Amino acid sequence: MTSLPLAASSDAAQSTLSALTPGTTATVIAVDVPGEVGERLMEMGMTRGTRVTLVRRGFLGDPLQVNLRGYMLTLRKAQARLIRVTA
Amino acid sequence: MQIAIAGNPNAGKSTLFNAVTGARAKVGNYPGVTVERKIAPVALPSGQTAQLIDLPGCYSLVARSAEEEIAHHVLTGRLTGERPKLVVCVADATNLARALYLVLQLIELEVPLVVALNMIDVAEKRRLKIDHVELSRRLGVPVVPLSARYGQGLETLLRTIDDALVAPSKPQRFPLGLTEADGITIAALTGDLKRTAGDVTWLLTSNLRDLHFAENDDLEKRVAAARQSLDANTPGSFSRRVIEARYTIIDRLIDGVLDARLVTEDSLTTRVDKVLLHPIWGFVVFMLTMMVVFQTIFFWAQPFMDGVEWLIGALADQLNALIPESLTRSLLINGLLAGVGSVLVFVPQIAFLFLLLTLLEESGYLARAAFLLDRVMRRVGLHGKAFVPLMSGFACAVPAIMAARTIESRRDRLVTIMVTPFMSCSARLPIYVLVIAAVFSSSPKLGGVVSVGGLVMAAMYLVGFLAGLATAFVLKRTALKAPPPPFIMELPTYKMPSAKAVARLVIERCRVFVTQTGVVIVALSVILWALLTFPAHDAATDAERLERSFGGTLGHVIEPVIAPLGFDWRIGIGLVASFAAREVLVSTLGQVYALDADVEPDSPALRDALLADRDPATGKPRFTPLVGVSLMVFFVLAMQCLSTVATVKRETNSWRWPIAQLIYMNTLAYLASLLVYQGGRALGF
Ligand SMILES: Nc1nc2c(ncn2[C@@H]2O[C@H](COP(=O)(O)OP(=O)(O)OP(=O)(O)O)[C@@H](O)[C@H]2O)c(=O)[nH]1
Repeated sequence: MTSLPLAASSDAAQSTLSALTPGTTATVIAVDVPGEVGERLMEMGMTRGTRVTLVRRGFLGDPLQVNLRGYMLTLRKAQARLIRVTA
Repeated sequence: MQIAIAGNPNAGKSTLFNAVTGARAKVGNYPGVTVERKIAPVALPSGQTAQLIDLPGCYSLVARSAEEEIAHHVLTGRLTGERPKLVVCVADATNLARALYLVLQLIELEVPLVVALNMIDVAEKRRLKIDHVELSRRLGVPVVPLSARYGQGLETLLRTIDDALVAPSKPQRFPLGLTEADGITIAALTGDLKRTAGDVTWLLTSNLRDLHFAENDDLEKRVAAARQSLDANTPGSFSRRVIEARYTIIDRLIDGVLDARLVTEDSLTTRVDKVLLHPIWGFVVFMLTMMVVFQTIFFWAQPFMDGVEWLIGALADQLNALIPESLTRSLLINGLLAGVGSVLVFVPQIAFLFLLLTLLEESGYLARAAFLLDRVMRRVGLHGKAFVPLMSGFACAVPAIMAARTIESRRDRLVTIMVTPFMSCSARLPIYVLVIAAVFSSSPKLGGVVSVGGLVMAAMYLVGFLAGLATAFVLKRTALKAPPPPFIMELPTYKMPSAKAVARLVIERCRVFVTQTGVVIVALSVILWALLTFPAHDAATDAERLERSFGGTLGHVIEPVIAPLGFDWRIGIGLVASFAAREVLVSTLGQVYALDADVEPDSPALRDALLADRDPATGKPRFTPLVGVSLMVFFVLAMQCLSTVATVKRETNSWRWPIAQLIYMNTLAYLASLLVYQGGRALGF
């Protein structure tokens, strides 16, 4: 039994929160934002397995507005880039 | 007996607090910090009375911000010396998962708990059904659905509080997913610290670095070592594992209590945001909003301010007629009454600004404005929310500095407070008008249309604004060094502000200003009166009295210091006097040049007096355009406003910041004027 194709396909679906197209929803697989900022994001509900929708990007693409657990949250691109998601 | 109200920001704590206590809250600061706290008695159905105390709104209790730390300290009794008997956690029913995160932490802290499930009316409109009985059973804590704004469920809440005081509930224990290795590390530390395992886990996941837990360095080291070994136990830090464990628990708690398929966004909010957060329309609306705010404090407050001034003037006339010429009369009118007047004259602006700000904040718009502006404000290291204080500063620094309260991070709020007074406030305008009328009114128009005076005026506004931004830029990299705030912010759903709550807040702000800041202003005003009156209080003319007064002497004494800026002793006296309020310069110069004390800034008499003033040695006019520009630059940058100093003192709760600001701004003003005057001279102006 080989697990290779499976791993490859899940790799292809992987992306980051900041790379999502506005209006699309994805599932968080890892929050790589370091330090307290990362912990704060997780405390706001951004944990593994959470469904997150990128609602819109702000003026010139930053900050971002996302919807998770039924409410709206803002965060900067710098952090969103470090949040890995999968469709 | 204390009962604390905890909850996420915007969960409705203040609304609940006011609904159950009436409007009897005492508002003050927590000792040593600038976070506001409210206390009021509440009568329980059993006949008992308890003190209701509100905690700062927070998402978590692990002390990552000043608010969280205070909330934690109140809950553990560190701040007030008394542990609250009960904690009411206000949970927004439309945001249940996040609200439960705080509830779980409160359970971990082992405080007796009642959950107030607020905004039930909104939840019902959005067809969210929450099985609160089942939620209560799963938590092991009473859950009372209510609508604080419409007064529904309040009685049940009070009765539940009574019951919980008699027989505290027994919350479920929720395992935080600790591994065996974690357990061993924690158990070792519980012995060392003589604390429960719960306390120790809390200490290890939080930012609390307090001696309360570890009394000596040795223990401190052991705590640090335990942190490390916990982090090493599994991938991801220990705190992150605990956070995820809590959300796993929450997902299980909610499953079946709330139909997750029904958790939708607020459709009104979604639609409105399409416009208000639009990259173009959003800015248009924002600009229009700011224009209204600016107009209101700049122009619409004017009639009210005129009214206050008229009233004070009329009172002064009455006193003048009633009391014979004497020192007492002078003290009453020029010291006390002038001081009271200079306090009251700010009230219309404060009331209007806070009326608008409260409407914007309560409706949910302020968070949107911050979202739009974050990109721009970040450049100088400020939070998007700093824009409102800066903008308001063009009208008056006093309400603007008070408006900085909407910024949560203490450091960012301080930076904003430190730079707001650089914005050219309306009190500087008379000085610009006077000087420009005196030295630029006869200049030819550039290209026949653009008046030099208008350009100079615009330049002054720009100089102040840029000085403020530059200062923020430097402060954020030095004294108040902090990474740019991460901008992790909730965008609340839009809500119609409640008229009662808005009115209450506006009145409260005005009251705090008059009673706390006002006292300082009046006291300082009386001191200044004495400086400008003694020892020559029986001199024949005002001009003579002024010149021979302490203030006048000071004007002479500082002349060598201000001469390099192009100022003589007359302007020196004006500078001394203008520390009460900038606009006082105009009337003081009027007195120095022996004119009517009620001169207007654009009065031809004062202008002519300034222009006629010639240096006896050279016969050249003293008040040249260069002196005028130098004087204006000084006024742009200098901190010459006792009211602002007093406000900064009150808002930062220490003299350190206002004094640093005073020294910094005045040094900067001096150096800039020096550069203008000496540079201008060198260039042949
Ligand atoms: N519809 C509805 N609105 C409510 C209810 N309770 C509070 N609100 C509104 O929600 C908004 C926030 O309420 P506040 O009482 O200011 O919230 P808070 O928790 O004190 O907020 P912070 O001071 O920011 O921590 C206000 O506009 C209230 O009018 C409720 O039960 N129903």
